[in-house]
Amino acid sequence: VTNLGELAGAFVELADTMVDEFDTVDFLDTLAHRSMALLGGTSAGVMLTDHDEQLKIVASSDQRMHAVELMQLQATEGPCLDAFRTRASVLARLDESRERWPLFTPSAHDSGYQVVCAFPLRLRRQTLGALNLFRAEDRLPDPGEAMLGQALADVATIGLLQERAVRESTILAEQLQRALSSRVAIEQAKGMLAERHGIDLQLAFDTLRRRARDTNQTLSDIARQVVGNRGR
Amino acid sequence: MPIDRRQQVVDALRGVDGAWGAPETLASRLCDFCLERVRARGAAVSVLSNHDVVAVIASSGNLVADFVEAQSRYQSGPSIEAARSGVAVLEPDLAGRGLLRWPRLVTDPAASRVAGAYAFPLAYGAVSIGLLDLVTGRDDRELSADQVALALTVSEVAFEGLLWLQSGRANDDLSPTIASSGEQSWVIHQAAGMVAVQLDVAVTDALQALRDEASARRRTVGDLAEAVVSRQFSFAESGA
Repeated sequence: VTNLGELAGAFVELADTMVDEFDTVDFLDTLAHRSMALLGGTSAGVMLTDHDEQLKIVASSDQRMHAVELMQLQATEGPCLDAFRTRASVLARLDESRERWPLFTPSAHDSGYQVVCAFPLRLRRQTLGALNLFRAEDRLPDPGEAMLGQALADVATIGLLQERAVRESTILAEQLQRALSSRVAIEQAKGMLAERHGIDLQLAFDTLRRRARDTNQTLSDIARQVVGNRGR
Repeated sequence: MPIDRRQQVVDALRGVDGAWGAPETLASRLCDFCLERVRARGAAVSVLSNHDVVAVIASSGNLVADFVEAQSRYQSGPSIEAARSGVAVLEPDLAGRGLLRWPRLVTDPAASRVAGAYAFPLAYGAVSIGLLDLVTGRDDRELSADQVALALTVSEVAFEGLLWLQSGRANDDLSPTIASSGEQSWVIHQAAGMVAVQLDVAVTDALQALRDEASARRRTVGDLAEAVVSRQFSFAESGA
């Protein structure tokens, strides 16, 4: 790595996930392009697991890379899958990989690559996916480059997990607020119906429930309507 | 030690059956922690919707409960301001500076035994879901910077704890723990519904009428709401 400024810029950019318009695909595209530039890759791509724990392609620097990533998934073998399974980085020359990946190796070779690297996106017990970096030039990364590749993957992982945690908290907090406001509306509506019809609160609640069922609406929607109409 | 602070709170809350312990006692364990470790005289946890306190789900005793109730009756005080602004409101000297800020509240008997009041929003960013209220008594010193810092940490943990209580529920489905802990507050909303019909006004005005009437009769809103719901008191008959 020659340009320290570029290196610093990459780390800051990958740490900055606390923005309103955060987009996972854009973020991983940045990771792919920054790694290519810093580590001298020909192509780069990122795979992430979805909620079924299946790896999916999220970013590819070019069509050729995308095709090879797809090939890895179809053949269920290749550097990205190994990095994901073993949680360790993979650095390999294709000339020496025919036994390791009999399907992947000829296909990647045909696409013009000589060296394939993959860095797991992992933090403590979680593994989210892996970063792929392929070279047309037949030169393995030196130890410093390998460390840098994993460091970029690590900081991106922390950024992703933080963004997920914040998004989940925000969603849950908004759900709690809605649930509370619904609960208040239901209690108010019970009181209104009880007073309007001279019935007890239990019967008022049963009335609300029946109305919700009969009109195919939620209890809280019915309750809000009752409150808006003051029990009429 | 700032690094240990969060762990200290989490460890104290940890129960035998997992990281958060039994859900139904979580809020009261938060209050206990504030008494034992923050050394507050009273602590209460309430939940908010649209920046209003809609239910008190735990309190350590009458001192803080009465103070929180009086604030809700007057819609004035540190908790009300913290709920509306989403920012902690700390007033160690209620009888002094507090009197100028909240004169009606501070002259209410419910506030007479409270020396200082500290209201911490349970919030992340713009979303506030609750409040942690701490009070000191007449014989207590004001909370130190360290105590306030620890209380802030408790409020962060309490925010996560409330989300944990709500997690896994469908939309609009309130956590049964929060629902049952807030039982006494739901009566107030039922009564507000009844009063809205009695006075033919919007429910927010009915709630305000309940608060004013309670103040005029030197009763708590909860008490008056119970009387309304059990039909021992009606705004239609009283001509209020």
